[in-house]
Amino acid sequence: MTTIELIIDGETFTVEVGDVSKSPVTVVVNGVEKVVSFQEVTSKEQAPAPQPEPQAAPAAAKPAEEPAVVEEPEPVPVGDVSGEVIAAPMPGKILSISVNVGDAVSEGDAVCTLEAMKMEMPISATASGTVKAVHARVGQNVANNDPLITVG
Amino acid sequence: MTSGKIAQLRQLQAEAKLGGGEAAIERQHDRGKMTARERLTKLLDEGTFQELDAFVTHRSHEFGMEERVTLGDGVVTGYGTVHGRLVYVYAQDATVMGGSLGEAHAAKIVKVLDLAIKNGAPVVGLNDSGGARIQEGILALGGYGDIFLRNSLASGVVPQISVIMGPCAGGAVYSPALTDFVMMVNESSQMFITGPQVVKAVTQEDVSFDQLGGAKVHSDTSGVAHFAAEDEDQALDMVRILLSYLPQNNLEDPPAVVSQDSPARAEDSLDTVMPAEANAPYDVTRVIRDVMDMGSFFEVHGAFASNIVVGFARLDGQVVGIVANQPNVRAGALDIDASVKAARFVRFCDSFNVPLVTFVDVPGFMPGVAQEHGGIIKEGAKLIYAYCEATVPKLTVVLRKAYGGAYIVMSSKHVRSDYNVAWPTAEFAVMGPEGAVNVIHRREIAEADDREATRSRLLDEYREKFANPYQAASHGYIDAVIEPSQTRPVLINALQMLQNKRDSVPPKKHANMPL
Repeated sequence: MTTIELIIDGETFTVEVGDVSKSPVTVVVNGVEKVVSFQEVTSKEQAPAPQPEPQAAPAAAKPAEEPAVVEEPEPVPVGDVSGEVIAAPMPGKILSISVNVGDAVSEGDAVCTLEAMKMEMPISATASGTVKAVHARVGQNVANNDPLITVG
Repeated sequence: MTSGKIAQLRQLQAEAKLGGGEAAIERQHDRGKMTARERLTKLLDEGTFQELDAFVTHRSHEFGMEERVTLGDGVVTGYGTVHGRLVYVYAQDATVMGGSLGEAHAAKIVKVLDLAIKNGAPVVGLNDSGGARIQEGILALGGYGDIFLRNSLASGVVPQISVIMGPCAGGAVYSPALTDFVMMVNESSQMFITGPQVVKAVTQEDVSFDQLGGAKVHSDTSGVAHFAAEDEDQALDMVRILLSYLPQNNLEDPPAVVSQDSPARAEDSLDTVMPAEANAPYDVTRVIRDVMDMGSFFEVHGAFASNIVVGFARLDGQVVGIVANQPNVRAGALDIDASVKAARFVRFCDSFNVPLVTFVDVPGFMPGVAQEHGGIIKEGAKLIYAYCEATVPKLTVVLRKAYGGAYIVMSSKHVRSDYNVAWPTAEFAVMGPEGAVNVIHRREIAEADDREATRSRLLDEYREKFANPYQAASHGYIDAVIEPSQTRPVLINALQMLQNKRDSVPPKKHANMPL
């Protein structure tokens, strides 16, 4: 853990960060533990700051700011990769995705969280292997049986 | 003189035992399967099998059938005991003309079913048959019909269990479907109306035997099978376990045992099983296992519609039927499959005097076009109907959410449940707080300067009012609010209080369930 003090708008945040070469990583902000994952940054000027895991409500605020430079990896169509497809067990909204392409997962590991019927359900890997593709985006509404992640 | 006749009898008996002959038996073994007799030996208590109709043969003279006569005609029938209790059995013998069903074969099964109804004992059928014996024409079809009639008449009179241990196709599938429990063996059993070739010809779909009607698809997708066993041994073991929870017939109570588990056991871990957040899932089977007698929970239909859990268990040695919403799967919402699964189980329990214990944590019926067009209205009505109709003792524990129509369905007081308690974590409401506040206070929120703050304040007010069991308790809709750790002693006490319950439905020919 590396401890960093950040001063944002005059307010001090004590941040403890784990191994940032891995994603997701556990970050403790002022004693509150959060799991964050990294995304590809297209603009090199933008520091690859850890993004807190997106919350359920897509932040509607601050429309005046520059459009976000953090670009979501484009969801991959399911036909492009082979392997075990982890599908949505029911219609709902993707709250978080905790794995990236290339990550090793074991059967039973939580790979993403789906919100449906006011329940936040961890979706588990149905097979062990390497994440071959991520088919969904955080915040996306998915239908029953929509492919979410392929593990091969 | 007599000794010669005895010798002849013994020779015939030996011939009958061989079924389709040694070569055919070997082929069956090579496929990893037991013969019909070996299966019955495994199923029944040692040395208790008494055979009926060992010398029955078919009467067909078409297509050279007069040359193919086998004693017993491809099915071994009789009776024996399981855990010392009488059970009628039949086992189709795949070594004799593929276990195909003709007139005489069917008549043997019918005889066993008639005996079971008259004498009030369960029937276990071991199915392994290529289907109707085509050479016998309409007589084979008539045979199926005769069996279906007995299955229907026996329904609700004696428990009927079907084990599928090989092919089961065409008309043959409907006898198991009419029985109470269907068990399939992984990889070696299939059930379908028409096989892959016909499917291909009619609908152009390419599908393998297993994909079309194997144990996996029927236990998790179609729900036709209540159990899928790894192999034949496990299947027969599971039948023995299942029978240990069932009464012999509808006039008996299920068999009680002396429990090794203290009826007063308070389970402190139940006080912490509920997640702090109302939107966090948990495994309801943990609650079931902690409350019931140690190791007594036997889940039925585990792989199908897992958003509801059903099964048998014991409370201080008394058999009970469990129905529980499973927040871990599909948020525990009631959908078509879950409603039908639970309704069927509730009706079985009511038929056979098994008291019901319902654990409630349900966010509502599952919304969606697929559900509405699939008939969730009539399918959900089945569960309401089943609970309303049931006259066995009904106990209900509301663990957390009891929302909307699903609150009513899940063994509420309104469907004449006898004893309803709630944990302090229970929430009774027409809908969840977010939806309710948006409807009730739409204008107030829209006109507020700070909408989010207003919404949040109203949400807190709503939660304080409804997200607890006390409004329901103030109306007597629940009988008590209990500490979770006390669930086991409370339920055992209530079950004793209800042991002589008598309730009835108005006299009628039969009711008209929303099918």
